[in-house]
Amino acid sequence: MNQAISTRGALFWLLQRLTGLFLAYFLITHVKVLHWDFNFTDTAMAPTGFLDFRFVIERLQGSMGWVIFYLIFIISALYHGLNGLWAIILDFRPSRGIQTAWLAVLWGVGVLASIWGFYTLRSFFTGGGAV
Amino acid sequence: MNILKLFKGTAEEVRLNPNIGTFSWFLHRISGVLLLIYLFIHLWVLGSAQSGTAAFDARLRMVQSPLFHFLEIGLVFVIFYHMINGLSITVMDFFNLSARHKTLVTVSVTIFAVVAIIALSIMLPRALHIPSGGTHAIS
Repeated sequence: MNQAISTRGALFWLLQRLTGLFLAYFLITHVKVLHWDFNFTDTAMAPTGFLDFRFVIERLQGSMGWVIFYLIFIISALYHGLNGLWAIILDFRPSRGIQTAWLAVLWGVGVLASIWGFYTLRSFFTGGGAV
Repeated sequence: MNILKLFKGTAEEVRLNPNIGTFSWFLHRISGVLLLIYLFIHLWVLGSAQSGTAAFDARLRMVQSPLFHFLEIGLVFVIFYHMINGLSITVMDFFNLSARHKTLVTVSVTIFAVVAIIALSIMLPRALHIPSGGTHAIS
Protein backbone atom coordinates (compact mmCIF):
# COMPACT_ATOMS: atom_id res chain seq x y z
CA MET A 1 0.00 0.00 0.00
CA ASN A 2 1.29 3.37 -0.93
CA GLN A 3 2.16 5.34 2.18
CA ALA A 4 0.96 8.66 0.75
CA ILE A 5 -2.46 7.21 0.03
CA SER A 6 -2.87 5.47 3.38
CA THR A 7 -1.84 8.34 5.65
CA ARG A 8 -2.74 11.61 3.96
CA GLY A 9 -5.30 10.49 1.43
CA ALA A 10 -8.46 11.20 3.43
CA LEU A 11 -7.97 14.95 3.66
CA PHE A 12 -7.04 15.19 -0.03
CA TRP A 13 -10.05 13.03 -0.90
CA LEU A 14 -12.42 15.26 1.09
CA LEU A 15 -10.94 18.48 -0.34
CA GLN A 16 -11.25 17.02 -3.85
CA ARG A 17 -14.99 16.42 -3.26
CA LEU A 18 -15.53 19.85 -1.68
CA THR A 19 -13.61 21.79 -4.35
CA GLY A 20 -15.51 19.77 -6.96
CA LEU A 21 -18.83 20.91 -5.50
CA PHE A 22 -17.56 24.52 -5.29
CA LEU A 23 -16.38 24.34 -8.91
CA ALA A 24 -19.78 23.20 -10.18
CA TYR A 25 -21.34 26.27 -8.55
CA PHE A 26 -18.54 28.69 -9.52
CA LEU A 27 -18.42 27.48 -13.10
CA ILE A 28 -22.16 27.84 -13.68
CA THR A 29 -22.10 31.34 -12.15
CA HIS A 30 -19.03 32.31 -14.20
CA VAL A 31 -20.52 31.10 -17.49
CA LYS A 32 -23.80 32.88 -16.70
CA VAL A 33 -22.16 36.24 -15.92
CA LEU A 34 -19.40 36.40 -18.52
CA HIS A 35 -20.71 34.20 -21.36
CA TRP A 36 -24.45 33.51 -21.25
CA ASP A 37 -25.21 37.18 -20.51
CA PHE A 38 -23.01 38.24 -23.42
CA ASN A 39 -25.22 38.94 -26.43
CA PHE A 40 -23.04 39.37 -29.51
CA THR A 41 -25.93 40.72 -31.61
CA ASP A 42 -26.53 43.59 -29.17
CA THR A 43 -24.62 46.51 -30.71
CA ALA A 44 -24.58 48.46 -27.44
CA MET A 45 -23.17 45.53 -25.52
CA ALA A 46 -20.86 44.29 -28.26
CA PRO A 47 -20.04 47.04 -30.79
CA THR A 48 -17.44 44.81 -32.47
CA GLY A 49 -19.46 41.60 -32.14
CA PHE A 50 -16.72 40.16 -29.95
CA LEU A 51 -16.41 39.69 -26.24
CA ASP A 52 -13.76 42.19 -25.12
CA PHE A 53 -12.05 43.87 -22.17
CA ARG A 54 -14.76 46.51 -21.88
CA PHE A 55 -17.46 43.87 -21.38
CA VAL A 56 -15.43 42.10 -18.69
CA ILE A 57 -14.58 45.19 -16.64
CA GLU A 58 -18.19 46.42 -16.78
CA ARG A 59 -18.81 43.50 -14.45
CA LEU A 60 -15.55 43.17 -12.55
CA GLN A 61 -14.05 46.67 -12.22
CA GLY A 62 -14.01 47.85 -8.60
CA SER A 63 -15.94 44.82 -7.39
CA MET A 64 -14.14 43.22 -4.45
CA GLY A 65 -16.90 40.60 -4.28
CA TRP A 66 -16.08 39.32 -7.77
CA VAL A 67 -12.34 39.45 -7.08
CA ILE A 68 -12.81 37.22 -4.02
CA PHE A 69 -15.20 34.96 -5.96
CA TYR A 70 -12.68 34.50 -8.78
CA LEU A 71 -9.71 34.13 -6.46
CA ILE A 72 -11.43 31.25 -4.64
CA PHE A 73 -12.50 29.88 -8.04
CA ILE A 74 -8.95 29.92 -9.44
CA ILE A 75 -7.41 28.36 -6.32
CA SER A 76 -10.15 25.68 -6.14
CA ALA A 77 -9.75 24.84 -9.83
CA LEU A 78 -5.94 24.61 -9.54
CA TYR A 79 -6.17 22.50 -6.39
CA HIS A 80 -8.78 20.20 -7.93
CA GLY A 81 -6.88 19.79 -11.20
CA LEU A 82 -3.41 19.38 -9.71
CA ASN A 83 -4.66 17.04 -6.96
CA GLY A 84 -6.41 15.00 -9.65
CA LEU A 85 -3.12 14.77 -11.50
CA TRP A 86 -1.43 13.76 -8.22
CA ALA A 87 -3.93 10.89 -7.86
CA ILE A 88 -3.06 9.73 -11.38
CA ILE A 89 0.67 9.96 -10.60
CA LEU A 90 0.19 7.86 -7.42
CA ASP A 91 -1.51 5.15 -9.48
CA PHE A 92 1.83 4.57 -11.19
CA ARG A 93 3.31 3.81 -7.76
CA PRO A 94 6.40 6.01 -8.10
CA SER A 95 9.24 5.79 -5.59
CA ARG A 96 9.27 8.11 -2.57
CA GLY A 97 11.86 10.34 -4.25
CA ILE A 98 9.84 10.70 -7.44
CA GLN A 99 6.72 11.46 -5.36
CA THR A 100 8.53 14.28 -3.56
CA ALA A 101 9.77 15.70 -6.86
CA TRP A 102 6.25 15.62 -8.33
CA LEU A 103 4.78 17.24 -5.22
CA ALA A 104 7.33 20.07 -5.48
CA VAL A 105 6.46 20.58 -9.17
CA LEU A 106 2.68 20.50 -8.56
CA TRP A 107 2.90 22.92 -5.62
CA GLY A 108 5.22 25.22 -7.58
CA VAL A 109 2.90 25.27 -10.60
CA GLY A 110 -0.16 25.79 -8.37
CA VAL A 111 1.34 28.69 -6.45
CA LEU A 112 2.75 30.42 -9.57
CA ALA A 113 -0.53 30.03 -11.47
CA SER A 114 -2.45 31.42 -8.46
CA ILE A 115 -0.19 34.49 -8.40
CA TRP A 116 -0.63 34.87 -12.17
CA GLY A 117 -4.41 34.69 -11.68
CA PHE A 118 -4.26 37.24 -8.89
CA TYR A 119 -2.42 39.76 -11.13
CA THR A 120 -4.89 39.11 -13.95
CA LEU A 121 -7.79 39.77 -11.57
CA ARG A 122 -6.08 42.95 -10.38
CA SER A 123 -6.07 44.20 -13.99
CA PHE A 124 -9.82 43.63 -14.23
CA PHE A 125 -10.40 45.18 -10.79
CA THR A 126 -8.51 48.36 -11.68
CA GLY A 127 -9.98 48.48 -15.19
CA GLY A 128 -6.57 48.08 -16.82
CA GLY A 129 -4.99 51.10 -15.16
CA ALA A 130 -2.11 51.07 -12.70
CA VAL A 131 -3.03 50.48 -9.07
CA MET B 1 5.90 6.30 -16.43
CA ASN B 2 5.94 5.83 -20.16
CA ILE B 3 3.11 5.71 -22.68
CA LEU B 4 3.38 1.95 -23.21
CA LYS B 5 3.04 1.37 -19.45
CA LEU B 6 0.00 3.68 -19.47
CA PHE B 7 -1.73 1.66 -22.21
CA LYS B 8 -0.82 -1.65 -20.57
CA GLY B 9 -2.11 -0.48 -17.19
CA THR B 10 -5.38 0.73 -18.69
CA ALA B 11 -5.85 -2.50 -20.65
CA GLU B 12 -5.19 -4.48 -17.46
CA GLU B 13 -7.75 -2.39 -15.56
CA VAL B 14 -10.37 -3.07 -18.24
CA ARG B 15 -9.52 -6.80 -18.23
CA LEU B 16 -9.85 -7.05 -14.42
CA ASN B 17 -12.99 -4.92 -14.19
CA PRO B 18 -14.87 -5.24 -17.47
CA ASN B 19 -17.85 -3.05 -16.56
CA ILE B 20 -19.30 0.39 -17.14
CA GLY B 21 -17.63 1.73 -13.98
CA THR B 22 -14.19 1.29 -15.54
CA PHE B 23 -15.37 3.14 -18.62
CA SER B 24 -16.63 6.01 -16.43
CA TRP B 25 -13.35 6.04 -14.42
CA PHE B 26 -11.30 6.19 -17.62
CA LEU B 27 -13.38 9.01 -19.14
CA HIS B 28 -13.22 10.94 -15.86
CA ARG B 29 -9.42 10.84 -15.95
CA ILE B 30 -9.14 11.80 -19.60
CA SER B 31 -11.65 14.64 -19.23
CA GLY B 32 -9.90 15.78 -16.04
CA VAL B 33 -6.50 15.98 -17.71
CA LEU B 34 -8.02 17.84 -20.68
CA LEU B 35 -9.66 20.34 -18.32
CA LEU B 36 -6.39 20.92 -16.46
CA ILE B 37 -4.69 21.69 -19.79
CA TYR B 38 -7.59 23.97 -20.69
CA LEU B 39 -7.33 25.75 -17.31
CA PHE B 40 -3.73 26.75 -18.06
CA ILE B 41 -4.60 27.89 -21.60
CA HIS B 42 -7.50 29.92 -20.14
CA LEU B 43 -5.22 31.54 -17.55
CA TRP B 44 -2.70 32.35 -20.29
CA VAL B 45 -5.33 33.93 -22.57
CA LEU B 46 -6.86 36.01 -19.78
CA GLY B 47 -3.44 36.88 -18.34
CA SER B 48 -2.94 39.18 -21.34
CA ALA B 49 -5.11 41.63 -19.37
CA GLN B 50 -1.95 42.33 -17.38
CA SER B 51 -0.45 43.85 -20.56
CA GLY B 52 -3.39 46.18 -21.14
CA THR B 53 -6.68 46.47 -22.99
CA ALA B 54 -5.29 46.17 -26.53
CA ALA B 55 -3.31 43.02 -25.77
CA PHE B 56 -6.32 41.43 -24.07
CA ASP B 57 -8.71 42.27 -26.91
CA ALA B 58 -6.28 40.96 -29.53
CA ARG B 59 -5.80 37.65 -27.76
CA LEU B 60 -9.51 37.29 -26.97
CA ARG B 61 -10.35 38.02 -30.62
CA MET B 62 -8.01 35.20 -31.62
CA VAL B 63 -10.00 32.65 -29.61
CA GLN B 64 -13.37 33.79 -30.99
CA SER B 65 -12.90 32.30 -34.45
CA PRO B 66 -15.21 29.56 -35.83
CA LEU B 67 -12.49 26.98 -35.09
CA PHE B 68 -12.40 27.94 -31.42
CA HIS B 69 -16.20 28.05 -31.22
CA PHE B 70 -16.22 24.43 -32.39
CA LEU B 71 -13.53 23.56 -29.87
CA GLU B 72 -15.66 25.26 -27.20
CA ILE B 73 -18.50 22.85 -27.95
CA GLY B 74 -16.07 20.04 -27.19
CA LEU B 75 -14.96 21.89 -24.06
CA VAL B 76 -18.54 22.21 -22.82
CA PHE B 77 -19.11 18.48 -23.43
CA VAL B 78 -15.97 17.61 -21.49
CA ILE B 79 -16.92 19.97 -18.64
CA PHE B 80 -20.45 18.60 -18.36
CA TYR B 81 -19.26 15.01 -18.48
CA HIS B 82 -16.69 15.64 -15.76
CA MET B 83 -19.13 17.70 -13.67
CA ILE B 84 -22.03 15.22 -13.81
CA ASN B 85 -19.82 12.17 -13.34
CA GLY B 86 -17.96 13.95 -10.52
CA LEU B 87 -21.24 14.80 -8.76
CA SER B 88 -22.28 11.19 -9.17
CA ILE B 89 -19.00 10.02 -7.56
CA THR B 90 -19.55 12.48 -4.70
CA VAL B 91 -23.10 11.23 -4.13
CA MET B 92 -21.78 7.65 -4.20
CA ASP B 93 -19.06 8.47 -1.63
CA PHE B 94 -21.19 10.51 0.76
CA PHE B 95 -24.30 8.34 0.66
CA ASN B 96 -22.59 4.95 0.67
CA LEU B 97 -23.88 3.94 -2.76
CA SER B 98 -20.84 2.08 -4.10
CA ALA B 99 -22.95 -1.03 -4.67
CA ARG B 100 -25.12 0.98 -7.04
CA HIS B 101 -22.32 2.64 -9.01
CA LYS B 102 -23.46 1.15 -12.31
CA THR B 103 -26.93 2.64 -11.89
CA LEU B 104 -25.32 6.00 -11.07
CA VAL B 105 -23.26 5.83 -14.27
CA THR B 106 -26.41 5.20 -16.30
CA VAL B 107 -28.18 8.15 -14.64
CA SER B 108 -25.11 10.39 -15.21
CA VAL B 109 -24.78 9.46 -18.86
CA THR B 110 -28.51 10.09 -19.42
CA ILE B 111 -28.32 13.54 -17.81
CA PHE B 112 -25.15 14.23 -19.79
CA ALA B 113 -26.86 13.31 -23.09
CA VAL B 114 -29.75 15.72 -22.40
CA VAL B 115 -27.44 18.57 -21.37
CA ALA B 116 -25.14 17.93 -24.34
CA ILE B 117 -28.02 18.18 -26.82
CA ILE B 118 -29.19 21.47 -25.25
CA ALA B 119 -25.63 22.87 -25.28
CA LEU B 120 -25.18 21.84 -28.91
CA SER B 121 -28.44 23.50 -29.96
CA ILE B 122 -27.30 26.75 -28.34
CA MET B 123 -23.65 26.74 -29.38
CA LEU B 124 -23.72 25.28 -32.88
CA PRO B 125 -25.44 28.30 -34.50
CA ARG B 126 -22.75 30.56 -33.01
CA ALA B 127 -19.97 28.32 -34.27
CA LEU B 128 -21.57 28.39 -37.73
CA HIS B 129 -22.03 32.18 -37.50
CA ILE B 130 -25.82 32.09 -37.56
CA PRO B 131 -26.82 34.86 -35.12
CA SER B 132 -30.54 34.13 -35.53
CA GLY B 133 -29.93 30.71 -34.04
CA GLY B 134 -29.84 32.27 -30.61
CA THR B 135 -28.43 35.39 -29.06
CA HIS B 136 -27.39 33.78 -25.81
CA ALA B 137 -24.33 32.31 -27.41
CA ILE B 138 -21.48 31.05 -25.37
CA SER B 139 -18.72 33.14 -26.84
